[in-house]
Amino acid sequence: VLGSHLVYFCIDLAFRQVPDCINDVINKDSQRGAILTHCRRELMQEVWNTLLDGDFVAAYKHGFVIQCHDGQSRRFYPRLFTYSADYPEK
Amino acid sequence: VGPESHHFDIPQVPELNFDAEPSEGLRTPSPSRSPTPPLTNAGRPGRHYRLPKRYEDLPPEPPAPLPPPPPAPALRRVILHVRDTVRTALNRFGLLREYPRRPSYDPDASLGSEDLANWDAPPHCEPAIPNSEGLSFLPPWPFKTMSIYLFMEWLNSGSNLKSVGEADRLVNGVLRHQEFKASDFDGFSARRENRRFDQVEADTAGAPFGGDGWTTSTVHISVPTGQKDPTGTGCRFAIPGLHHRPLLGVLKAALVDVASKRFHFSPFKRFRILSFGREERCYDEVYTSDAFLKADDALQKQKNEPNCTLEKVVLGLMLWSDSTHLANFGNAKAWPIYLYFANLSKYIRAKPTSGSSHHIAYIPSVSAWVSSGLFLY
Repeated sequence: VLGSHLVYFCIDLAFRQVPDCINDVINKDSQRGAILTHCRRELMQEVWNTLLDGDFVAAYKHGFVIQCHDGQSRRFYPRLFTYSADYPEK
Repeated sequence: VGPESHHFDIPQVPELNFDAEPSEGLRTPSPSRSPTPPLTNAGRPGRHYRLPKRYEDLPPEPPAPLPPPPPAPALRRVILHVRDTVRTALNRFGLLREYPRRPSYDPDASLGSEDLANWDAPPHCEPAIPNSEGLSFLPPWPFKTMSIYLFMEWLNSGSNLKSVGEADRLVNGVLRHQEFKASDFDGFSARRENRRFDQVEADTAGAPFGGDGWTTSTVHISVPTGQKDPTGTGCRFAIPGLHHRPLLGVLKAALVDVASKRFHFSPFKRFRILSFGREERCYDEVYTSDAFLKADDALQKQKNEPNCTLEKVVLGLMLWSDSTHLANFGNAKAWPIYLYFANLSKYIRAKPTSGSSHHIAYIPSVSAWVSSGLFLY
């Protein structure tokens, strides 16, 4: 894995002087806890960015048609009612 | 206000004659009993014992059915947002439903007692096992029939992973099913049928239940480096291993699943009529809440999709996420996101065996990736 990222490592070393591995940022830093919290928050945002994809957003706006068990077709519009999750900062 | 107002009388609760008049003395409260109570051994008149009211166990009852639809008017005139409020009658607990619009489907119309009560099977006395005296000890001894003999022999031999509960489930759910025919199993192979099941997903990609399989993605996050950064975006790191299912595929699959028979497509208000005629709102389900009614009202007022006259239905999503320990020892953890449907009654949704929880995603752990090293994007 390290080998495949070596290319980026070299490029960045040459141009931007940034570390290739997060431990290079974190271990030297006294802000380790705060950075990890930041990473988790960013991760959660990105996960929802992935889950609420274009298909879902289109269905939210325009609905989608399903034939139900009683034989009737209906247009369903997903709506979010509750979201219960602990804030993943720890 | 609806076109006509309905009045409903509170049904007479079958009253048990608990309070015998003192002057009536020895009169029996119920005509089924003998007119004079038998005397006790001491020669005194016997007492009538009755169960205290707190031990009265009323069987549950589904909500009262919807009134029949009014005949369609000969001249149909479209008026914007006509309120067609429908009120049902009261059930024995004094509860009624009020729909802002006539629903096209009432899942509560077919509720059975097994859906309303929390017993698994109706309580019944187990018949005593007959004495084996005078019987021959040939099969099916000690069982009643040869079918039970063969089944019990299978249950108690071979693999010991067959539980009594699963055996009951096999008999009551499969072997005794109306559509079960032993002749269907000519040349049966469980391995082949499993393979057929696996192939379905690939063969029917366009089907509404298809396309809800798991995929794995990599997400990218920005981390500040503590160094001067003119772009202000920090460093982008890749976190692989997000397992997830496409949300829309899961919604479609859930709506064609048999559990959607119990989905409420139209929200309503539930009222309880108090003894002196006052109404009290009952908040019991998501689809009877003001939030759902408001969302539905907004959707009905929303413009239809072009060339679409289908009924518009709010599909309520309830998302839930928490990190979960997978083992009693060690720190094996998973961080799942679950999806529940608000259109389903909480009494079904909250049952662990109802299968109404849908797994949406498993989030990768940041700590694991930090300790193994996050890499630049």
